[in-house]
Amino acid sequence: MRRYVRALVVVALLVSAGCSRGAAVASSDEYFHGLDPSAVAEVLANPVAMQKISEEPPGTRGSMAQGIVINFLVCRDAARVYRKWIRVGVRPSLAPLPVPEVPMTPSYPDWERSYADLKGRIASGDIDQLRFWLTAEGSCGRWIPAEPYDVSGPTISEALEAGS
Amino acid sequence: MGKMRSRARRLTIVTMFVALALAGALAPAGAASSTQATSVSCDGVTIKTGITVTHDPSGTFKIRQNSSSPKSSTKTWARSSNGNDLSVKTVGDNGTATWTGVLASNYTIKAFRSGSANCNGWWPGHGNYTWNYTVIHN
Repeated sequence: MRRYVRALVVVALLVSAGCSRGAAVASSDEYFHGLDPSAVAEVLANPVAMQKISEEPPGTRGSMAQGIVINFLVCRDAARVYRKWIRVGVRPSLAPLPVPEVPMTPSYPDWERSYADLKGRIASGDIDQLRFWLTAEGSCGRWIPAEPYDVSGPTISEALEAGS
Repeated sequence: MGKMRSRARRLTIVTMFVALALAGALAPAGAASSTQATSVSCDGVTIKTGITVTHDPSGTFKIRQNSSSPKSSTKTWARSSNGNDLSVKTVGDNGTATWTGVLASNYTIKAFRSGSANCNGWWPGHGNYTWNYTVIHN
């Protein structure tokens, strides 16, 4: 009987260890290689981002994690372009799309398409198209903090709407 | 008698063509749809991951609850492959949640029961309900 209970405890521990390891994401994981380490660190410290990553099935968790890091980088850069365009009146250029060493599916092909869409909006010369990309339903600006690590502060979308 | 029968047949064919043309005109041009029936926990907390659709170009995105068994309201939304979420909306049977101006991306449907309920009778736990829904976009 005691042996049976011990075996059950061991199985429970193994299962829980397996589950927690499955949900864990570390900055050394290969899907982060090639991306800005400061953006990776910020995503790992952001509770909303980590919630989204942990809710992902194991098969696409790395893809989601990589996609979110690129999201932080491109979204902030697009906001920088928007602010400078408003201030100076001339379209600044967008930084190139970050290229991870191991591009993950489905997020990276999705990013290539989104980035082309973003560049097209900037190239159109209509600043409202860029504003839409940053503030629309389902946009990055709706949840990514305007300032790095400022999780309780305004989102990029809120900051743009407040005129900052 | 024969003439009357052939006229009636011609009328039926014309009516069918008109009906088909009208149906084509009323359906949103280029709209894509996918339907799934899946089980969702009745605990009101556990998030169910549904189908993934490619929404391209930007436009309208809808999730229609066709039916539920046992009858339930569902909180639902979609998440892009890069972590961007549509806002959470509640739908009941024959209800449709609609988002406009949704940016192009691959979106995965997410859902959980609106409030907890016992869908399991005398058995332990909350049980599940069958959620039948259709995603319509663009």
